[in-house]
Amino acid sequence: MSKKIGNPISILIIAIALLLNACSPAKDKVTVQLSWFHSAEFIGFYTADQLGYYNDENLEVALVAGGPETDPIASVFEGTSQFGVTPGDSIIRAQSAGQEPVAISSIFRKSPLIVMALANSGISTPQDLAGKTVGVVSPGLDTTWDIQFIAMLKKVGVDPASITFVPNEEFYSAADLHTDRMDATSGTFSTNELVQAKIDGEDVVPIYYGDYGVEFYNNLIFTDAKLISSDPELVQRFIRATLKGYQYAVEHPQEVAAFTLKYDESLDVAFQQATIEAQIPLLDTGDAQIGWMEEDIWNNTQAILLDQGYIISPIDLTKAYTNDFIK
Amino acid sequence: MTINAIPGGANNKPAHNKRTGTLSLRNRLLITFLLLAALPVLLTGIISGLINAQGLRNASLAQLTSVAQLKASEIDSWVSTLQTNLDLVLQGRDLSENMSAVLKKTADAETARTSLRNRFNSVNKTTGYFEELFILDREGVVVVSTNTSQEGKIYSTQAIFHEGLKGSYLTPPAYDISLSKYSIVFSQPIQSISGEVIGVLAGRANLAVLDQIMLVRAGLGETGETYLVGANYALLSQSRFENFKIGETYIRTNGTRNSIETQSTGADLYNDYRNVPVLGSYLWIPELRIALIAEQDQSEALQSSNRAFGITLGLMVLTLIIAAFVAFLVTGSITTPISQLVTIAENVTSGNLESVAYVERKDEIGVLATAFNTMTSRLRELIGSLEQRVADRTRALATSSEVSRRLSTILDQKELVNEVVNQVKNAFGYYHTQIYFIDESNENLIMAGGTGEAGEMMLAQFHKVAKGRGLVGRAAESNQVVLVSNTSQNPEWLPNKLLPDTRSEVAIPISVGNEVMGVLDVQQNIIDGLQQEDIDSLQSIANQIAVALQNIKSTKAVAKRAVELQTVARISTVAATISDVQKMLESVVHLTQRGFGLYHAHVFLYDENKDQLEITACGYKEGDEHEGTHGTTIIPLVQEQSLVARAARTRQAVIINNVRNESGWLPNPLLPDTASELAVPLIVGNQLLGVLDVQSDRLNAFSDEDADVQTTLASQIAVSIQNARALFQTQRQAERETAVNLITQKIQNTTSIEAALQMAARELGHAMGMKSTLITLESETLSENQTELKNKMRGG
Repeated sequence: MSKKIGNPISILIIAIALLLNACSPAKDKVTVQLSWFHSAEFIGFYTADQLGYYNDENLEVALVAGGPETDPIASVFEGTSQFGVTPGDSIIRAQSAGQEPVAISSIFRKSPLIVMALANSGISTPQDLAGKTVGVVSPGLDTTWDIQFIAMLKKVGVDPASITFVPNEEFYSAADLHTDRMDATSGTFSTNELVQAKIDGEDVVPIYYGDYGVEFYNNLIFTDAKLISSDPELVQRFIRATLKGYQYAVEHPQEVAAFTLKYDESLDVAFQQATIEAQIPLLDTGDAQIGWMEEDIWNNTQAILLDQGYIISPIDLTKAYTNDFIK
Repeated sequence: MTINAIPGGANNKPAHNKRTGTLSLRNRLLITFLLLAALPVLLTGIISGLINAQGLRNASLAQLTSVAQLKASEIDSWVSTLQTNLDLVLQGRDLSENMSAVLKKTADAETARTSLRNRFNSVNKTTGYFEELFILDREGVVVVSTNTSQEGKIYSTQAIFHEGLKGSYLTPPAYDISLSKYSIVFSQPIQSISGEVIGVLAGRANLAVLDQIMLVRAGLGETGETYLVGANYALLSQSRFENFKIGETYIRTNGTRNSIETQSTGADLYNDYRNVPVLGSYLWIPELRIALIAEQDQSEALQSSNRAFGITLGLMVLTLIIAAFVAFLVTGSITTPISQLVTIAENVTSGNLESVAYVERKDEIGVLATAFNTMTSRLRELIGSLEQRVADRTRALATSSEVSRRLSTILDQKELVNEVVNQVKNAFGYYHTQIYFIDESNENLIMAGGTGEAGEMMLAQFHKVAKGRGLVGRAAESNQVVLVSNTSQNPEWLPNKLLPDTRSEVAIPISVGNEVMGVLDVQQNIIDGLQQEDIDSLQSIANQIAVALQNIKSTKAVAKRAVELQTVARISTVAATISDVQKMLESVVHLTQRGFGLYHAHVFLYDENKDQLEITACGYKEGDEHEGTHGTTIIPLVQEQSLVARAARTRQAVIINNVRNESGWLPNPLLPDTASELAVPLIVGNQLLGVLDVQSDRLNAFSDEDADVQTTLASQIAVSIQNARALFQTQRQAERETAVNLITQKIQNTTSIEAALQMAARELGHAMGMKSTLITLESETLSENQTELKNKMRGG
């Protein structure tokens, strides 16, 4: 029954669309090396990817999962990735080592790191940890989480030597606390173990590192300084889309939780949603835009690294991070 | 309705198919009426609704804005109250000592801490402004707090600390993770007596106060509310809906966007966080970096406007319904009768003339219907009468042709008249038909025939009408059809007792060219019984009568001429056989009088010597006492008046058709009945011999043809006279020559001249009847005078 192929306007639109498609340059391919396994921590990336924000910016973004063995900075500097996710101390240490990773946005504006203890343990402040056995991520105490834990102990005047460090093993809920191996566990996340513990009905007490003067950016988005100078527009587009994704995720946690399955179908959506909800106060603190980085925190991080001897001399922090790409 | 169609006949075809494709009159009227009614109503309604809505909306927005401003100023005063209170805490002398002790970690620090904590608690209890008052040392460590679990925390990286060291500071609402809620913290530097900043006094505001300020719904109706939104669009104060929780709810509406992005104040209509249309007023509070939103559901805010609009709408709908109803009625009252008329018209078109529209209305449509009915009935009558008229016409034509056919065979006038009047009357069904002919005097119209008893009686009475009188007379005079449609209305009409029922009459001249021969008169016993078509038919018949009459006339004329020429021949023969002029002429006049049916005929002979005409022979009517005699009438040729003398002088025939009209005409006492007279000269060669004069007792008896005939006769008679005279002359010559011979012989027998002369004189005188004869001799001229002498003797 089709008398006409279509009205002139629709033909025109199709023609223009075809023309644009044909003429538009291929999308900029970008790879992001994440710091950890796929999870709701990266919900902003997933959302930007799933809702087409990257596409809108003419980006084709590959999100590569990380893990304990992954070094995102190395990945970026090898050119495998253009962007990576890594904690603030890594940036400073790399800068100090002569590399030029530049943080272009934070993810969590507040530290999710906590020491978790059972409520009946009598532990509610870092001071209470003196003389106790505490779980750590690495017995070498050289991971970013351990560095921060030690820093917190020092801030509150607890001698780390008074504490017996044992490695965490379960990394799940309050599981480690139910063994006799430790009185409290450090290096846990308010957005992960604490969430699970609450789901499990565990009566646990979180001690936020941030409340005790240790405020790190635990997951910064960074890129190579060369990319910033060679293609700032690409960096801008990437950050704009990613932060838009986080903004959306913060405001629609139920909706975006399912996006995580697109990257790891073994994930539990209900848990991921709870995680996202727990992230909201960290992502969106209310006093500044999502992604914004504070000089205080960078100073705090550098001071801790100096104090613990991970860097010998302070670096120029203005080279380590920039808020230029945050609107 | 008032007009109904009576469907009649079999032809009731629906006519709608003709009208498909175009708007019917009904629909056009309906649409027009509805538009006329609807447009003003809609316009007025919409405009007043808009103006009303606009006014009410603006009023509602203004009210919301004033509520928002009121609340903003409450917040302002709350902020300044809190700052003042924090100041007051610092002002307390004992407090500052204790603070100093705690911050400087003096020996009695622990006592001072307890004291401060107690003091702070009592302040909080009294004022309710802060939920936590705490002191930070120069490291950012919480040294004293009303919330002991907070003591020992380190705020070194936070603005309340490093900004608080510098001066009075106020954090915008920020989420505190360990407290799991938003906080607004006021901070002030704590100075030692020496003025050195030794720490920071901070107060975590009791946001319940803010909630209370926001939750007061005064002036906001049922659905109004005010709430606070942070710069990150997070809801900061309680919503009136419990499922929108602080810390989880982000509100991105036109109101919050306008307020936060432009950090401005305004009012607008938009959908709120529930996606419900609201009127909203928004206000940016810079010191807290928050937006204050006052909203009210449009459904409530615009309720009165909506109600007004509803009423307007109701009125509009009502008006439209009434308009539609009226439009239907009016349209129906206009178009229904028209459609019915159309149906009837279509019935009529298809040949059903019995359709009638019932008329009850008196308006234009009623008039139209009436006119339509009249038209239909007239059409019906017309078609009926047309058939009748066609039949009539056919019959008339048949009659006309029948009449014509008969007329061509009828040579008798009387028969013709009877034939025509009866044919015409019967064929057309007239009351009476009659024919008049003009008489010879051309003055009267004599009735020649009529139908029925009346006709016969009138004929018997020799009915006649003077020319110019009555219908018949006028028709004859004017040579025009004269019609009287209603005899009672026409004063000039003359009633006839024999024809009492005549109501209309027409008189048609029977004429050829300008010559009127008579009149065909037709009468009808109904008023207006004679129409133009009657006149046409009758006219054609009258014309044929005229032709027939002419035929008859010419036939008669030819026959008469033949008879006359025979008479001429007979008379000529008689004339030729009688050598005695006198006797011959007497025979001739006798025969002429008899042969031509004349009143009188006589002949004058011309006496050349006396130049006069002497009557020679008279032919009287049979039985006349004077038959065989003729008087001694002598007419000098020069006598002016004399008809006979004139004919002789002019040598042409002279006709007097009415002698009484001829001045100077002398009546002859012997011929009293003479009415017309014809005198014809008797001529041979150039010689006038006399005049033949014939007379008739009828007027107008002589035509030119008669004159020709008589001229012919006259020339025959003249020849006969000449012949007779020549014969007489020849006889005389012979006698004379015999006498001369005799005298000659007698003279030759004499012996002497004297005797010879005596003899000659005696014989000559004898022969010539002379008393005395004288002979003279003149010797020289004798031979020459002999001829003269002879001539003299001959001429004697």
